[in-house]
Amino acid sequence: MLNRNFTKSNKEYFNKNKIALIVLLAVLVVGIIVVSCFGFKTNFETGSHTEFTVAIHTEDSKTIRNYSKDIEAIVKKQGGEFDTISIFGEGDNTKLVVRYLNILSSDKQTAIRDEIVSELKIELLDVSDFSVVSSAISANDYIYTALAIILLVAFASIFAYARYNGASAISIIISSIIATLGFMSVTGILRLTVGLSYFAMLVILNLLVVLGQFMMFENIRDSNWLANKEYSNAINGALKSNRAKMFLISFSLIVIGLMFVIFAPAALKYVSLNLMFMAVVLLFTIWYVVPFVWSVFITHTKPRLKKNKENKVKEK
Amino acid sequence: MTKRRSKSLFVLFSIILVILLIASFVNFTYPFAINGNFYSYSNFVVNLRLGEDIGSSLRIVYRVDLPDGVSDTNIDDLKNVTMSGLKSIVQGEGYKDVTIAKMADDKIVLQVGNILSRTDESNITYLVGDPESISFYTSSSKSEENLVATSQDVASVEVLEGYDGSNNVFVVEVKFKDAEKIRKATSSASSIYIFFGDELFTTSGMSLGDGGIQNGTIDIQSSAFVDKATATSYANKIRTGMLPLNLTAIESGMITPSYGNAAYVWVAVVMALFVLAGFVYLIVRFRQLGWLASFNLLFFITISLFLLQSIPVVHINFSGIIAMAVCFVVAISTLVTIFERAKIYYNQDTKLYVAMRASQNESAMKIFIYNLLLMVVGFACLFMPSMPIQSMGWVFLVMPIVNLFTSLALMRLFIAMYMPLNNLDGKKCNFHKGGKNA
Repeated sequence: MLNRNFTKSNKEYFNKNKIALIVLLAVLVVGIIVVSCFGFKTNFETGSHTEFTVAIHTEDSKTIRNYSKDIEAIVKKQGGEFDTISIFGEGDNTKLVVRYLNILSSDKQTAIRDEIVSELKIELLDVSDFSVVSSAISANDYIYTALAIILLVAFASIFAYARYNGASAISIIISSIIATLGFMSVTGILRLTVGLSYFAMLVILNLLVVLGQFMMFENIRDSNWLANKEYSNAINGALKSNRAKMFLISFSLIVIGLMFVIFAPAALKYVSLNLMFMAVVLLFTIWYVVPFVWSVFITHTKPRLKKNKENKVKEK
Repeated sequence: MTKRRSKSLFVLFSIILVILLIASFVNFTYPFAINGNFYSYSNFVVNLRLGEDIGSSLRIVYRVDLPDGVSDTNIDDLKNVTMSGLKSIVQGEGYKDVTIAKMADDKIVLQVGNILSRTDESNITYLVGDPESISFYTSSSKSEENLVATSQDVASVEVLEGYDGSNNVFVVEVKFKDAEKIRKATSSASSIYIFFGDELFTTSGMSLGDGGIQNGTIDIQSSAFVDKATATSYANKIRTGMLPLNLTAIESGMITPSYGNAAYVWVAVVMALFVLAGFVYLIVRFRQLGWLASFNLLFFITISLFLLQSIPVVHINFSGIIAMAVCFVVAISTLVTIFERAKIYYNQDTKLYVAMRASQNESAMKIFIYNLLLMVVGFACLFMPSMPIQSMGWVFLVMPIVNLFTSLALMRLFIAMYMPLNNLDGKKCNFHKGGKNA
């Protein structure tokens, strides 16, 4: 538990949670090394990939769906990081667009084509040449994602400084940086696929980290000011109740991700895995990073809330 | 509030909710004919403009060639200019979810999301389905001596807006790089004829504006330019003729979502289960207040869907769906915040209705701050060119506003309606556990 008896309590806190904090440090170091050496694993939205089309000369939608399933089974059997199959066009002009996450070697392309030709009724099918499609993402997407996060954190920290105290503002900035780096590290280490929605998840992660802390600050404000608790007790109570709240929020996002991973098509599974790990990083940040940052910075901050409490008492 | 008034208000709001739920989730054909035609109704969910990741989109694959007489060896630069030009033309028509990528050495692939109907599909296909090079002649027959300018001479195409004393007037202004050359070529001409490839594009009712073809610019007026959108469409069509490379559409048609054929079905199913889980959580935790909160959240969901499908620029990508889930969780959190504080007051020997009222008043600022954070993110995201981020931005802007209305205004009313029916009993809300009233 934290205490305003600064140095001693920080040491105690560190000893209690040192495994979690060491794990965090290790993940950040390994993640930065992995990402700087191998980069992120891209999908068809963010990286160059191979795709080919299979024209199906039939108007029967059931036959088209069956061929789609058969071709999916063949490409999965052949390996090569298959991503998704989409149905393109209609009627007699229907084609299946088969996308991969990566660029296939010519041997692999030949093997897949041969397998499709030999396994399926070729008189109905026409397999196109394999093409490499470049990434549709622009450098702006990276820049503007970073900008959105910076704007959020800047606004939140200024607001927190004005409403709560300096430690709150610093806590928001540091925990956001650690959460962002942590999520990117986990993505790099586990080789999760980075699509366009990954950028949105980075923004959402930061939003929830900030929101979680605002919930905590409001709780401290209430406990200290309204319920007349001691400042250190207020902090400890708020940290505890905030952990439970953020657990529920993270858990619900993990459940959504899990449902997509279990039931949804392949491409949606990849992005949903990101969502699950984003929720895990969020939980870790709120459980371990935020209290630690608080314990460091609250020691150097005057308890502005105390003043409010006194004012309130006078008013009464 | 009297019991009688409370009951009648509950019935009224229940009827409103049923109407909202039907409007949100049910498709039907109107049981009566208008001018002999039976029209059908599409619900709010169907009307959401889905991005290409979770909704169907239009895909066009072009073969790319250098125009005749151009021997620029750096075709890659020209490809980039063509791609960005094509993207801005389609986005200029209001279809924001556009991705464009190079395919092999000689193709580019364009994909446009937010396709709601065949009309959208045919609009885009008409605009960029088979772009041809534009040229300007002083006669309706193409001949070398009548040629004024080709696409390479055009500097820009803009839509100008004016007022003629009674109506707004729209003019499409074509500016040329070498004004002097155009002035000479059109010195004796009274009309200009625009060709796309070999096809005459100038339609009847179209004339040159007051500025005409003076000063090296061509002002085009038409009775067809009834509003800015039609004039912009015309200008965009001209812009397709200015692309530096020849594009030949070799494949065109609708394609199922890039996150899988039935991505939107799975998204709908998972979101429905998620919402259900939220209701169960509230009901288990707060019993009667949980039912009331679920009632309130149904308003939150349906009003949000109504607004998201009504605002034309809103489109929903997968990231927008995740943002919806986050907003729903925040909406639950705001209600829990109100109830938890009311529980504390109730257990300090405060009457339930006093506890609820005090809790609502004192939680208002907190709730406002939480939703303000979402709105700040939403506002910031709207300025980002990335479509998934923008999609998320719209959701974070619209849903927190609805949440503020439902959690602060509607919930207050519902609680006031609920109190007389509940006989002011905190036990029915699980408020007695762990407190002095236990």
